[in-house]
Amino acid sequence: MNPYLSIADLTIQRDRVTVVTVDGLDIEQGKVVAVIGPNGAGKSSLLLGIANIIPRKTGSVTLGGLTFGKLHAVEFRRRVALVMQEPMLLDATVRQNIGLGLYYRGTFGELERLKVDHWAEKMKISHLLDRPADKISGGEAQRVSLARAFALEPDLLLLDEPFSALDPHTRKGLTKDLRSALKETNTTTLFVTHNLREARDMADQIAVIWDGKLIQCGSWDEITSNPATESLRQYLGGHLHEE
Amino acid sequence: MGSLCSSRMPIKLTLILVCKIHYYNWEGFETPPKNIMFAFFETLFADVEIWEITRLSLTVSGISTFASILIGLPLGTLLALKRFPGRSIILTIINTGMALPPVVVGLAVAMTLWRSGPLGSFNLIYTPTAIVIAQTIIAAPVVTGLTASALQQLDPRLGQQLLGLGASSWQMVITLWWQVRLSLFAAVMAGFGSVISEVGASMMVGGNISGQTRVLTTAIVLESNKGQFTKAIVLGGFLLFITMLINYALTWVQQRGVAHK
Repeated sequence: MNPYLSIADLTIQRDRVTVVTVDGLDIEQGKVVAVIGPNGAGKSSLLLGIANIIPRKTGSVTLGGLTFGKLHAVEFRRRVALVMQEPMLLDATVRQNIGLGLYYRGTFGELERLKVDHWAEKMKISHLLDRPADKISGGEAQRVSLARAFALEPDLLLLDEPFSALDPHTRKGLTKDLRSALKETNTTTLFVTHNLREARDMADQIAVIWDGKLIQCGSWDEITSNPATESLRQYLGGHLHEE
Repeated sequence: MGSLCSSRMPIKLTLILVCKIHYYNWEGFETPPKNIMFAFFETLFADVEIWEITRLSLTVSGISTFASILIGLPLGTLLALKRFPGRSIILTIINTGMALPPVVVGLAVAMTLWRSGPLGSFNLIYTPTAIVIAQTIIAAPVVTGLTASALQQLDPRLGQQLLGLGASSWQMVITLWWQVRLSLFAAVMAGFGSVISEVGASMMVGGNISGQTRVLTTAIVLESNKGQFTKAIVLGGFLLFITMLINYALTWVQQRGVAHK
């Protein structure tokens, strides 16, 4: 295996307290990895740490052969796109919101317009492009957020529970469109979710974060048939039963 | 009760006020404003000094407001977005500074710029520069405090989201300013309002020297003390008119932003 994203001995701190450690995690290009674990386990911190939005204490992150540290922090971040639980849209039009990351990269004019139009169409929000972002529904806002990330053509897509605030019907439609977009772009993706069925359906691999530590990584079958701890077995059983 | 609450009420009140002033027994005053409206326009157009005073007022307060934006915007942003030792103390000082009595600022600046004071060698006391310094000290905490308050209203995860889309630190800050632009406009308006209307500091550090450091507020005080109420009223009316005009322009820009939302 030739890993596209390689994480080694990573320690992430918040307010000088270690919140997550990863001894090693390798992901092949184009693979989708679901990050699961209980609330407060450190899943979101892991994503923010990989993108260098919160500082890493130790360790290395290599993306496409380039290790962070040799690259400027901003250059590294510009190879990554983050989608959060809340869409976090600006007080601007939908078009301006989708183009935001492109503006940051100095992409304006025709190229920017083409990319925005393409991803608005893919996310089925072309009819909303000129509308103010605060005048659209929650599901539409999350579609804008996804279009904004895909328009950047990132090497690594970080999704932090993007559908958790949506109703089941909206969630289903959005999940389908996301899967289609991921398949089309072959984007390497880390996908935090609480929904184990979503993780099973969307991901090639499952990474389990428990008490701030990556305790297991493998396929769905490997994780469910041979969980690393008894607590994880109970967690998986309980959540699958609930869903 | 119905007529009291009518939309013409402000006009009626203004007319009553004008008549009261017009027919008031002004005996005992040096210059009785017998025909106040005539006197208003006569003073406005015949008195060259009033235009010079107005020009200086606008220049001094404009520069002070600009300087307070240069200080307040970055400082307010730093206080809102960063956590560092002493931050709470600085915030307390800034919040206290928002209610600083201008006369106290005037006293402190006058003592500093006094010939025998620590910065006396610069010969700045009783100059427009001294007024600019004092007014900047008055307006900067207002702009700083309101900027910090506006940015703290934002979801703290917005900054993380912007960084996660590839923003540099500067791009993130500018985007956050854009997001709270209406509040920042209000901060600038409040800053300007606090300096164009203050009198204590300008009087103490400017000295109210005719043709050099006399601004609208200090001129009003002087004319009132002399019993020259007509000129004082004209100056007051003119100050109100200019303040209203500038705030109207800023409000128009601000509300255009609201309408675009």
